[in-house]
Amino acid sequence: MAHHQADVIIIGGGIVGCTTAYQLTRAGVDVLLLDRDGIGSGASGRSGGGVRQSARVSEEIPLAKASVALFPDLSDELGVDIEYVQAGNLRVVESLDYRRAMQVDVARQQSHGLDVSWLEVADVLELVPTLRWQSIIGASYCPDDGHCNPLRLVTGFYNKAIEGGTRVLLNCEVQNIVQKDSGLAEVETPAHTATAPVVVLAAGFGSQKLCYQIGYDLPLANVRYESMITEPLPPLFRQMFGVASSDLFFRQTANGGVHFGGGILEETGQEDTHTTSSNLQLAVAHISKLVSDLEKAKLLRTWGGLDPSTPDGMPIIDFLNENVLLASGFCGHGLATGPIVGQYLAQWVQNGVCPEALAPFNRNRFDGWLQTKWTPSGSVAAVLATEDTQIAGAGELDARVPFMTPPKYEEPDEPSGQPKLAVNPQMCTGCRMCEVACSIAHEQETAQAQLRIQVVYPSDDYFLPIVCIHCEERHCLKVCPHEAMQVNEQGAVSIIRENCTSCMECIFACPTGGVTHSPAKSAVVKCDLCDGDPACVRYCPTEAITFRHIDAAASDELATLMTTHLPSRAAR
Amino acid sequence: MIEVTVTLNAGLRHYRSSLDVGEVMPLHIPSGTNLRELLTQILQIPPNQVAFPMVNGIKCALDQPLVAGDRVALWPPVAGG
Amino acid sequence: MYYGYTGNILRVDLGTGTVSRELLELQMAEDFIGGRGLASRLLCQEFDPAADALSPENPLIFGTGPLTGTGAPATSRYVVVCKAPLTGTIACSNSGGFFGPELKFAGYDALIIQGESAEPVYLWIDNRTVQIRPAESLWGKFPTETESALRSLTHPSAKVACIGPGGENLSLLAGVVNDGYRLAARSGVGALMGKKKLKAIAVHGTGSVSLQDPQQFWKAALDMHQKITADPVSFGSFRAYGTASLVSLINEMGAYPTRNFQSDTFEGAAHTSGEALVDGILQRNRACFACPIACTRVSEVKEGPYQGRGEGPEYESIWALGALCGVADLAAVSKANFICGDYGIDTISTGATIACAMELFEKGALPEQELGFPLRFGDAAALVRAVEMTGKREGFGDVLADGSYRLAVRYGHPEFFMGAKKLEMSAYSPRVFQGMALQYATSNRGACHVRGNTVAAELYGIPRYLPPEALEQKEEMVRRPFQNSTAFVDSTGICLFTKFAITHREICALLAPATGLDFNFDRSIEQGDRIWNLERMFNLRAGFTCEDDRLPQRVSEPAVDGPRAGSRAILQEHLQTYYLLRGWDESGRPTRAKLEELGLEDWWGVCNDA
Repeated sequence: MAHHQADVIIIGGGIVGCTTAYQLTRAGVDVLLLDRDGIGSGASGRSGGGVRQSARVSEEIPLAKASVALFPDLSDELGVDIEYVQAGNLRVVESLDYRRAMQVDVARQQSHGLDVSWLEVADVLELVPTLRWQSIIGASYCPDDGHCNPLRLVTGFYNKAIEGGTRVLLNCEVQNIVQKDSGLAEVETPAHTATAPVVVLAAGFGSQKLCYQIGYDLPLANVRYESMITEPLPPLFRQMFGVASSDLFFRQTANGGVHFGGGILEETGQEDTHTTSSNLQLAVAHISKLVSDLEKAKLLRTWGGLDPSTPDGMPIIDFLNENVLLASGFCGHGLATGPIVGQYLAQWVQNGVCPEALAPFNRNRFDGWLQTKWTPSGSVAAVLATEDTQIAGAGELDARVPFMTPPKYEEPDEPSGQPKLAVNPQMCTGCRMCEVACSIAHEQETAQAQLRIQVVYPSDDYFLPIVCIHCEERHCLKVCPHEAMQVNEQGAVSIIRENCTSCMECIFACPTGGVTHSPAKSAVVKCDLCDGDPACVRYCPTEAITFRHIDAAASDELATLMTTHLPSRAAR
Repeated sequence: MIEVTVTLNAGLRHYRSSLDVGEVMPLHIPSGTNLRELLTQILQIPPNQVAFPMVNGIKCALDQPLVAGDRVALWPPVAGG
Repeated sequence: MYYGYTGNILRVDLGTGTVSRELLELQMAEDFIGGRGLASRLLCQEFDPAADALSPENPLIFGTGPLTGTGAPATSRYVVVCKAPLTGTIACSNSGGFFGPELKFAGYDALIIQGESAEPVYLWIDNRTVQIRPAESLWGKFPTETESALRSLTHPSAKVACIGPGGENLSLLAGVVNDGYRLAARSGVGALMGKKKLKAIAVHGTGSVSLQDPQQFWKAALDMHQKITADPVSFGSFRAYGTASLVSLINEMGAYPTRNFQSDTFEGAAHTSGEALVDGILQRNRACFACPIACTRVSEVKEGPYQGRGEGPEYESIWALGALCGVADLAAVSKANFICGDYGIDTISTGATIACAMELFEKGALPEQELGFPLRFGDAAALVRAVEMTGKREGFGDVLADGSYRLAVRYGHPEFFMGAKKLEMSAYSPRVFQGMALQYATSNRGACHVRGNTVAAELYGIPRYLPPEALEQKEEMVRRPFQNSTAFVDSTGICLFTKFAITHREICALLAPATGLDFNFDRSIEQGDRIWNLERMFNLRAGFTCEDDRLPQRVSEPAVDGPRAGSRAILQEHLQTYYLLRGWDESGRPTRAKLEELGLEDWWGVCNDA
């Protein structure tokens, strides 16, 4: 059993561990770095490579901004080309549901001084012509974001740390951290022990077990995602991409391969990096929808990624006791923030004062609500769930404007027969969308001469559609001398066109205007309830027409309404 | 405590139906309260309903702390032509 | 076979009493789309822009877009194009309702009315039957009366566009009124209709608009419909409060021009806000053809001295007749708005002209004996009286009816005219909205807001937020996503108000399946640019120069009060960049290369020998 001593022990050779080691050794501190496997073998090396400030929760924005400011010089500083491309991050919105939410989220980020804007689809396409416009509503765009090669970044910091004198033990799993009476902490591994005044615990999901032994229940879940890379392709885009309504991300690497993944979130209790063909297929299908001509590209390799995630989507960076400084749970944001976090951690370790920038990430913030159900971060749902993200409620109506809110219709106690069309003039705005929708459904055009439903305007503030009310009496059917009418499955009288002679007996027989004549067809036309899903109901913007069970009294009321206003149809 | 004034406009009015159109509501709030806290804790209006939070006529971020005498005016998403 | 278009252009010569039908050239349709673009193109071939706007040669062109009447959301728009009597620029006023779609159902893409009648006439279009009929009995009637009279004279469900008494007496503030209340208001197009002695056009159509690929079209159109009904602005605030929801917000920002632009904050805004309108006088909202939004207000003042009923008032009307004149009485503002509707005159220009007269009066430049009564800022009764006199051209109204530019010049204070190219500015202070300042100065029909409503970006963040005071990127923003895009949208027949919920690209996606022509996004950008440049060339030929791309001195001086005190319109710095981005030379003339790029090279010679 070998024993080591150091000023600081760092557990975890990922981005946070390596940057902290680098910064500390630069300051002349004696550092021992341990990793269970190899450098960058966990979340860091499996990362999607995004270096972004946008789409972060508010508290994390200052950290991300400070970190991104370091990136342009890192290749020179580390002596490794980290393949950093600062061409912007686009968070693509594919569905209307997310449009307004994203716009508002953009405004939130702007309020934190971030140069991020909402782009309509036209502007997105102008920026990235290789996307498919059919699949995109718009995107948030942060021009200062970008991406880099994660392994090269981590290795770069590692090499520099070694150069500066950091000692390293790889393939060396820490099993326990014990506080000694000497005031030092002792780290135990199967073959080594090491003591130091400070232990920086940056082992990603692996930190959870060690925290538990210390007596802290680290609220961490592991989110597995799957990554893959294609063969080298000609240049498609330089930006980093995310997708608002799922977890797909993609970028094109320096050698031309398209690196993508996600869309396949899976919360697991363990560090699991396997991949599944079904998840990979989903991601491939998703990216092919967004990027033109990608379906022909060959996939070179796939791997599973890890996002150790906290309930609020932010890392936990705090001392657990006098010796142990925890920095874990970066929720997939560690690669981008790592370089600055390393600087701050090194400061904290040296002067014992928590840097202001790290204050929001204290562990006390979860006190009292650890039992609540939470969504893994990295998903938009988590971002949207944060309190300061404003989501404008779609179609929020003002209850104070009386004709704006449709009444709640209740099913009658004794529904008679099948559902029928019911109109409510209080809600009708006179827009004629019902006419248009009906006409399209039946004639594939807005045929003004043969409307089955017609809006009338008895006064300048009272409008209603006149349409067949599907009465019990069926006057039209009874009088038809040519057997040109039948009752269909929905209980509506419909026309058998071959038999109709255009004699118009039915039109005269109907007291409520339910049948009209079509000169174009030389036949009469009427509502047939569209196989049970009436087009007029579907496209009425205000629920002025509904399709529901009504009782006899309501049915009579409807008949009176139609009869009263039928004369207005001549002058509409 | 400091005093600020609040007006609710358009659809936000239904959170205080008793107010008249454009009525200014004087409120005493703890100093250091920011706009978000004013919304969530005092006015009980979900911040996501507010598209145009204005303080003294300037559109502001929700974490802006309020100072005595601030005139807060709030709108849901609106537009016109 | 035409799709989207009906393929017919109706030509009516009121001088000779002849009516003829011409076929639409598809190449022209591909280049200029329809509506504003196509009608402007037709105007240019019909008329020498240098000639007088009230000459018989100036044709009055009614145009619809390929989407008008298709039933896609809010496809209700038609335009009225001519050389503007008020400004001398090209005029393109547009309006919704049901008249535009009816013209399409009757079978016409555009209507060219040329010559002048000696006696009042109206035009009766019943599908393919077109008659010029005498209109003595209609002369002097208000639009609502004209409509009901015409329905009994023609067809009970005819749709009517007409002029009110304002157009008849050649008020330069007059617009064309359709469906009783809706105005194609600005630039004085109603005066030209009055000059032609054409009281009204009644249309009855029973046809439909054929679509080239109905399935594709309806898929896109109904998607759009659902997007609009899911949008909190379009289907929430807009529907509940109408355009007037902006009154309180713009005023709170200190961007609500008051008392003829002497201040940017109005202390009485709350009394005339959209909220006050909803609580006080709103009866119903109603919709134009196929529009899910239904922003139209039907309102009634039931008590007091200002009783009346009608549609509106809209945001701009509330502002022009309210804050701009210092009047904080919603009933009086509504009454003034209803009177404007009755006489068929533009509420913005009417309010602005009266505000200008108020300033002239208060500063002693306009004697009371000429006015006949004192006309002070904030005097509601005087406002209503002045509006009525303007509509009738009665007393001093005869001077007011010619607009604020002529008024200010006549009384020796041209600096009190608050507009550009003789058209009055709208309700967004150019001191605060720097994009709007550039838009007012460069708009082809004078200082109007709807040729490029940059407030969408500078306040709502559509398509992206650029703070109102920011100067960077404003030139490009004004040019492309606003002016050019609006020229395109105005040409399709869809309402500009859909653009709070749907994008330019989505509107583009409707055109190809509707028409079967090669419309696409890239072309639409070019089409918008082409239309804008054609309008510019028209204006240059009409004698306008870069000297006319100016704003009043007053808005270049710092605002004196309000939350944005000290802000001012910054224009000069923008203009050269704007010209450059447009492909124009330093004096604001399109270069030959630019015209060749847009296929407008024929205009080079026309313009450069002028």
